[in-house]
Amino acid sequence: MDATLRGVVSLIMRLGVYSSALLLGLGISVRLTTPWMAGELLMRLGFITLISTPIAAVASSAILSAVYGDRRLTLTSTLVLLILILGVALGVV
Amino acid sequence: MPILVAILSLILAILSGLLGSLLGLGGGVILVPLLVLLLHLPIHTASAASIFAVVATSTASTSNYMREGLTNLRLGVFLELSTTLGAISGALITAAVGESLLRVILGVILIYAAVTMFRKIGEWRPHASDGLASRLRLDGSYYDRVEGVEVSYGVDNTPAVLLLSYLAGVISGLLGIGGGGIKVPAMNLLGGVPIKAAVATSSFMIGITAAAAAIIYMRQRYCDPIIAASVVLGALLGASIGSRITPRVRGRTLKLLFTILLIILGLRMIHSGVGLWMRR
Repeated sequence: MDATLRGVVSLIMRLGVYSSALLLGLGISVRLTTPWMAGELLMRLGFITLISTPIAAVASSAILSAVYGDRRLTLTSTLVLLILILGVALGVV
Repeated sequence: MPILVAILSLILAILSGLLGSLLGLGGGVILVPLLVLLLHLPIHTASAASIFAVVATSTASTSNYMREGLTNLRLGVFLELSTTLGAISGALITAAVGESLLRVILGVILIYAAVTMFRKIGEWRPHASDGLASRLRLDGSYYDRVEGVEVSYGVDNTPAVLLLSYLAGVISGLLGIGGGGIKVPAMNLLGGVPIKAAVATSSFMIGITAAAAAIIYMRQRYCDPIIAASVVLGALLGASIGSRITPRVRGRTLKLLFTILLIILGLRMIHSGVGLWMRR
């Protein structure tokens, strides 16, 4: 299971890196060279993609460990996600 | 003018991303002063941009470290539990704690960690996992390209490492820093995790906490999109380079670099703490 999990997390991270770099690069070029609002939108999408990447990695760890029946890792990953949500809701993390 | 500031931010972020990924730090402690002092950006804009840069550094580093097998995902998720709890506690008690004193204490801790690391610079012996680490299967292994051997390790003193991760979270919540300066020495010196695995695991953990903080910054609209986007692109590039260098560097060299940076950060913390106290 650990090898699968590492592969999935690595893939999520790589997708996050490339897509956010692409969106932010495009966004900043459009924003600096044209008066269009599309630049702002692309940059916002880039930031959202970037921020969701590590959270998606933890979520995938929770899902995969649940599928493989690793209760301890499922519990730990789920708790991390819940505490993060709590922190964001309280505005303190 | 905005184009020039964007280009300069990008260059500074390449540097912070490179150092951050090489040493398992977010890079924010390097980037924020550079943005404020060299580009004269307001501290709020610099901090917001830096949080996004930390996520970028962590994401780009982890994608490479994970492929190299250096990141210990189980250990990272387990320690992240206490770090996030610590970050929430830290943010909740901010008002009750004197920032100047806290900065001085953190500075002393960082210098102590640096001295301890320097004294044990050539020493690393694999530890056996303690009871908790065995139950949670926190041990790991990776192929060391420089030595040409498979390195297997257990995790020792898990409760103490967990406690220090909590402390790193508290400090991160109080001072808005990543806490890698505490997590890496804790994993390496107390837990017996090899320096490369400690750096890679810390990189992974920092991104998770910073991503949650970035959501808050986005909601509060402190973020200047052009500066933040340039900084993210720079950090992604710097971290991609840095995380390709780490597996090719000797653990001893990495420890020496880390020690030097810890001393600089520690002295800077003490200096800023004393400065804050003098201004009151």
